[in-house]
Amino acid sequence: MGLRIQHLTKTFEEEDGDEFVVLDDISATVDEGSFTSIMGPSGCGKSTLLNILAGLHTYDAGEVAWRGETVDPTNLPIGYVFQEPRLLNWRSVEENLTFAMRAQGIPESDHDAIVGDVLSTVGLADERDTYPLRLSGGMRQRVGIARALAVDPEILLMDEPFSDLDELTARNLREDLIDLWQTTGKTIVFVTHDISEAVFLSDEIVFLDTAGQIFNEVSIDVPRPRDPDDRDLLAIESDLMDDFFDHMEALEEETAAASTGGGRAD
Amino acid sequence: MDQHSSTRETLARIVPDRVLPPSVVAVALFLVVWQLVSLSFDPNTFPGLGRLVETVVTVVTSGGRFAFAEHVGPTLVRIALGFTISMSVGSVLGIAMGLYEPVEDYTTAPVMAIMTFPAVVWAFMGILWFGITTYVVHVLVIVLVVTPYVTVNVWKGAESVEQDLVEMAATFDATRREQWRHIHVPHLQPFLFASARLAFALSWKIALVAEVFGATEGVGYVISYYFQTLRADLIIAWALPVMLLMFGVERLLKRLETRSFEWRPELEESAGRRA
Repeated sequence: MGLRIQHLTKTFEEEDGDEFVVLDDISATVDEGSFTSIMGPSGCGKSTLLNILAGLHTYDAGEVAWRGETVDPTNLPIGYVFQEPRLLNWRSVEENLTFAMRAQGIPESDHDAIVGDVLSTVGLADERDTYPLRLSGGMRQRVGIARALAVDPEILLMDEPFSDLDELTARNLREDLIDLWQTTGKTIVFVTHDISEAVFLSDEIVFLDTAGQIFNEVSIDVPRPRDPDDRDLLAIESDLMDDFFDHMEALEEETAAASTGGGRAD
Repeated sequence: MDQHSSTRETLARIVPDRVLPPSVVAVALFLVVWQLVSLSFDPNTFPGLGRLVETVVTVVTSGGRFAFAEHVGPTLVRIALGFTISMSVGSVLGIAMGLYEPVEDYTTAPVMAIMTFPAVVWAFMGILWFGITTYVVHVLVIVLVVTPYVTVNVWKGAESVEQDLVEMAATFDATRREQWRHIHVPHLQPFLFASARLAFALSWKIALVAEVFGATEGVGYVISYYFQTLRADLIIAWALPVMLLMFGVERLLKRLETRSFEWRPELEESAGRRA
């Protein structure tokens, strides 16, 4: 059950009128309560897929289902964490959270307790009245995560949330994220371009290529808690990278063959 | 870096900051120069400091030819009306231009065209079109000169709203009203404040210009009279209280602005350096 994406296709129209297929007949299942990563090189459509699930983009074909029922993605119970914190710098941390809660219609009487709760979860209990610009990058990102949690979504969508941070901060946040996930049991869909991050964090990894198709789906069965420098993980990473490069080479040969065959000048 | 610090040290020895802040020294120097220059001039043309103070007191207590309140009153009303209308029209137009392309396309040229006319030209045309009026011409001239500046400032502000934040709000299904209240308006605030300070500074100077050319009362009218009777000392004496008042208002606006940006650490840091 969980989250099912069936035959999803999304085409973008470019400025010169050309059509560019970003997602080509994508089908995948995300088990409820699992941590699933979507991986791929730049331009492969992973952010687009996430944005479709968030209700930010429309799509041209296919359907999305949650717990067995087809839904309009704008109605999915999601919380979104962006790559940048995207906080309202002129509002305190608490006000940033209440902004989201009010927008989602959560009763004001509950706000105080929820704010305390989620800020403790991300380790920022003392920063309720602080303004974002006085926080470090990692802390601001935590506020972004707290905000997504504050609306109590069943699905957490995360778009490369740690890629702007330094490795030390990112490692800390990854561990905190796993703790949080294990405590709350939410379904997490996590986009990244970093294979070691994906392997460390996920139960499942879905690989997208630049042709907009899923070319690989892998389960990571290494038991938790995982050590990011664990040999087994590194071995898996290495294998996955090999698979990825092999596939990209094959893809390039295909495109090259198609263009010489069709005589298209690019 | 070295040269910079040794100059600072030298200055610090001559003028210790804590005893005499630099701005006080500069003003004192200016006053000394003024007094020296005034010695070579007729007191009606370039009054010494003592004479100037006396004259200002006479003016403010309506001891001279013109009653102070009778002329400062209308001037202030013209400034207030001109400022208010310019800010209202300019902000609305600027926001519309920043958010809606069709508005921008059609209004950019007219706004720029109006902006290039000097205040004096508007003053002359206003008088020829409407005759000598109490408020219409003066307020109109202020509005025509000041509104384009407000418009352009606010336009640039409205254009620069971070789409990232709008997108973020969309993921939480925030309504347009919530987006306005929490994203657009706070984002526009610095631009509105900057526009207000500029608009105010322009408004009062334009008011005086308009009054010089087409009024029967007001500070500008009085200045024009004293120009014709060759009394530079009285021109200065009338201008000074108005300048001080306007300076006070500008400082107030600045203070309001600073207060509303306490969330920005950079402002605090630069204030610390200056202190």
